[in-house]
Amino acid sequence: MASINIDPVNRIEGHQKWEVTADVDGRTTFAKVRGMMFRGWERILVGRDPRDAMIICGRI
Amino acid sequence: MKITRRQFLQYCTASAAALGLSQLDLLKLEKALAANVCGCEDYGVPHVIWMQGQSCGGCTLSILNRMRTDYPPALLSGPNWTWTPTPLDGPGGLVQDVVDLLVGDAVGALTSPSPGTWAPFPNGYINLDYQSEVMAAAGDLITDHVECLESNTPFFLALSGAIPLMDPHYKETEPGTPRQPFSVAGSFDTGDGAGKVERSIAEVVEWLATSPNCLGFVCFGTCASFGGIPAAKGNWTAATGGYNFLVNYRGYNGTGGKADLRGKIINCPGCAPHPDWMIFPIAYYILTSTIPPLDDKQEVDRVWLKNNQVFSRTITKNTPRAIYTADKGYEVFCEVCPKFTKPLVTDLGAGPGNGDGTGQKEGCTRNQGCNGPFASPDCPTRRWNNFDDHQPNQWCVGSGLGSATPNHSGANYVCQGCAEVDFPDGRSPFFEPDKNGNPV
Repeated sequence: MASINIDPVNRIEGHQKWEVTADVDGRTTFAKVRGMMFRGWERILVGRDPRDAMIICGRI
Repeated sequence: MKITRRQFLQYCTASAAALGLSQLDLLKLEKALAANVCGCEDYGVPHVIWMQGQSCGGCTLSILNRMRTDYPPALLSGPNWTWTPTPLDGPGGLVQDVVDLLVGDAVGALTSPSPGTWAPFPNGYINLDYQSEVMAAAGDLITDHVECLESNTPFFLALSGAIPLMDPHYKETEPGTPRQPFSVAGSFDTGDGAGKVERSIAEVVEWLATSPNCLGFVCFGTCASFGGIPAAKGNWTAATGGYNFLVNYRGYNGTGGKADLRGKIINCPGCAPHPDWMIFPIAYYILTSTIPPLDDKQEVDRVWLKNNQVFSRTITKNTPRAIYTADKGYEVFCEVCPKFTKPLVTDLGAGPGNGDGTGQKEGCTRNQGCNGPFASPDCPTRRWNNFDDHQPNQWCVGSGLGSATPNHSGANYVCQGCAEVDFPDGRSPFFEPDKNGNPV
């Protein structure tokens, strides 16, 4: 069993982690792509003037 | 030029952006290589480690506007500046390290003999060791390199994006050490005995900023400086900026046996910040080996470009800009905004904001929420998208209409006040003035 964890992934915006595990035959037994950042835009927009969404959502 | 696989991997980790450029001449770069640090050739220039917190990538995109891979000779001189050849240039070619011009053109403004000229600073380049959005290496290759740099060589730390502090759905494991899973920087070994495990951006920033090898900590963007949009009302992540995190939350203000980091933290706000604003602190350090003078918001005492004069002025928060005062004259933003200075027709006459001394003119959008009177950056003069010719181009407010000066074009929008301390909550709602007729 061999596993590769690439953390962080490069040349992307944001944070991501790749985890792959393969058995001795080379078959992948486990693979996961994990997003490692959260900001919560929907929560930030609640209660604001709707036109503010133009300004704030541009920064996603 | 043949390189071995081992050399290839070393080049991958030696500089974040070096191998992202198709026209980069590695052979010429080899001539610039000096000491061998961390198993990778060291260019003998300051290392910069750029970490990302809760960022959108805008700061990176903004600074990429200053990166060029090819500089045809015709572009190397302009009305305001000329190229000075360097010993590293060969006939028919130029050393185009990705950050050569990045630092060079801004440094020229600080060093050239006549104000406003931009002479590239031939040896003013940095080694951008880590920048996850552009670097060629991933995973352990680059985390090993950062760990090696942190222990062995002086470096600048840069951060874009906010630092999240709390996750309300997790209990604190022990008081004062809340789990911070909202932005994981990578799997680093910060020397606390846990090895290479996932580290939040808060842990990594603290680890690098408190390292004895850290020369300074530059916070790119409003998010890293003051919290910005991830720290807006309603957010779940308790995001905050680098200064607040280190000095207030973690207590690095010289008390309690902790180091005093206050003099080392530089804020470069803006959403996104202009590449010139981001380059100045690092360029200043390359020239002078000191942190530039900072104002009360930890920002570089502003360097303004106006009428080809480069001067600095400390701007206090919330100073109305549309009013003339005998000692200061007009403040800069509205003074040079064509919608205020060159109205389409005439003054609109009596009324709040119209010709009664508050200075609004037709075309001026103060009553529609423009934050120009309260904005501190030099967007109206430096403007944006300057690219190769370093001429001011567009900006948020420019409309290109009714203006006698060229290049006052742009998005024809209101100023959002994106470089202010209270962006966005203090500037929201963006399209409404407050009840006194002032922009919010």
